[in-house]
Amino acid sequence: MTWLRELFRRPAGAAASVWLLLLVVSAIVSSFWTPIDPFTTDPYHAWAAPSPKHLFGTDGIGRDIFSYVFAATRTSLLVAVSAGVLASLVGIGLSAFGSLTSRWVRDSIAVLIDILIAFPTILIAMLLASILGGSLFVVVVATGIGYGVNIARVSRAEIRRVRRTDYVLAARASGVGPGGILLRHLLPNVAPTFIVQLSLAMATSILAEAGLSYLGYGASAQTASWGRLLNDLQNYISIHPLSVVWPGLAITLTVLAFNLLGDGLRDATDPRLRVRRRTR
Amino acid sequence: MLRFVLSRFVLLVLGLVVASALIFFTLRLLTGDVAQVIAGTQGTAAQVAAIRRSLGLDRPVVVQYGDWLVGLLHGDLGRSLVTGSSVSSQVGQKLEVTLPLAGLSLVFGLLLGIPLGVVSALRRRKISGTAISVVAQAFAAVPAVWGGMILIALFAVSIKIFPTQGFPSDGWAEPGRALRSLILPALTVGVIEGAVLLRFTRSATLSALDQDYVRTAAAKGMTKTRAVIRHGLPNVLLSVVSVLGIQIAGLIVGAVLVEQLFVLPGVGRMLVSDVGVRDLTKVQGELLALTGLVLIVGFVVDLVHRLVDPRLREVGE
Repeated sequence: MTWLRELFRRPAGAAASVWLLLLVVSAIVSSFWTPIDPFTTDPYHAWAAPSPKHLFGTDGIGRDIFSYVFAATRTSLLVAVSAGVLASLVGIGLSAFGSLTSRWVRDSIAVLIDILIAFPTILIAMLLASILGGSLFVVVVATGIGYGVNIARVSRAEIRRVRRTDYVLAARASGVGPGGILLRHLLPNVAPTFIVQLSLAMATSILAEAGLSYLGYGASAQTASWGRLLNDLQNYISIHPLSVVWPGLAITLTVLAFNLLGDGLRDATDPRLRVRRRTR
Repeated sequence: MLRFVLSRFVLLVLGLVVASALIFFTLRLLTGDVAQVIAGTQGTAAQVAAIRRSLGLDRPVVVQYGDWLVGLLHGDLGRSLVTGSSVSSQVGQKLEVTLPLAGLSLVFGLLLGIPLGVVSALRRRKISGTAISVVAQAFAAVPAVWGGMILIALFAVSIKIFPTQGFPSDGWAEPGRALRSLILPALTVGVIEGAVLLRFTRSATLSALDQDYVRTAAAKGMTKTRAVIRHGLPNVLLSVVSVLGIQIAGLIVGAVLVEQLFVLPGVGRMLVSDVGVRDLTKVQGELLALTGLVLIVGFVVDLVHRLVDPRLREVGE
């Protein structure tokens, strides 16, 4: 696990990992326990200022903002993980399929990918939501497709590079079939690039979930979501600006953590960077 | 050059066709029966059949798609299922807000991203350079809606120069007033996109610093800063142009979100409400307009990049 040690050697990578670990713990803990039930309203204590009882204060109907933000970590992480898995399946599937089939199919897939990349994730989600109605499922599917084609494009370039190397030629010369080359040489070499893309896909899905839940086409009213809370609070920004800070900060820090994790993993898995630092 | 333009143009047309087909067939496949949707749960079988006939839904789906495409070539995107008004004229009218918003955001993004990116690369060993880069990293992670809310909080409470909501009802009749109501939303999207551009510019400038021509110029007595600005900047700008095409998608998404927050009558806000009432002809028209915009701007950026980058020119041109 040298890459893990490399990742933690960098302050940004270590900070990102710690924050994400904290989120995972919060997601698990909040499933069983929150300081106050996040959906319990208490009109007598609306817009309470931050205090030991309400760390982040309360909103317009007296819900405890800390408990709500705490409970919403589960929603965001669930979306991030499922969108990440789906995007990887789409991305790896498309590029592996392209590398196995004839040139004609490969080129058509490449053109299709180039076109699909122009479809912003949120628009794919709106397309699906106009029929299926908004839900976290729609957010996951949209990010999975939207970011999956990104992964496909990046890994296609990488596969093309590896395919030209001498060891692939040697393997082919000694009689290894296209499937064997894909499994034994192409995919393992694409893995580092892919892992970086995966963490960027998760960052994108967090932003997409927040944006769509804000628009009312993501999480349902019974699900705690940072984006939904932003929507609930938006009419009171000028009167109670502090309340808006918390959900937004949670989104920003999480997206930042996934971005930094991606950068950190890219550096940590790049053997060239490692060698250079040792000799320096 | 002509061959390049032609091949890129074919790709653009292909992209528009594929995009329109994806939008059209996804909507049709997933809805099942549009007529039933319009008639609602109370609709009788006769009403549904009448609606189906009047909208031409009784014909094969491929024929309907063909009709839509032919209409599209005439600038006709069909009629709203809810109000019956022309989709293309409404989209056109809303683009008068969305296009300037996206354009102004891009201007803000470029004005912030490029100079600060170059400065942060030149001062990479100083605290100021590192600070710029760290702040940009953080800003790139800010959700557009939250960024806009913070601007509203700042501008509604303390500095009341720009309106925080709405757009003049008479549109661009008073350009100054209309422009002023776009400043805050465009700043929101622009700062976030600018942070992304800043990171591109920074890494492009850093690699320019390593180039032989900068070292040569420095050896001949130029300061490194001047050498980079004189010889490196053209290269930096070119690599920024090459990523602009991808950035446009981010601008459009940002516009959809801030139009909602700042109550601007643009395509994005209209799309959000049409998705809510399931006005499918309008949704497909709006989605096509927005993705078409991304594809067309991508095409233009590619042409410009090709035109200004001497390295991409074919031999003998």
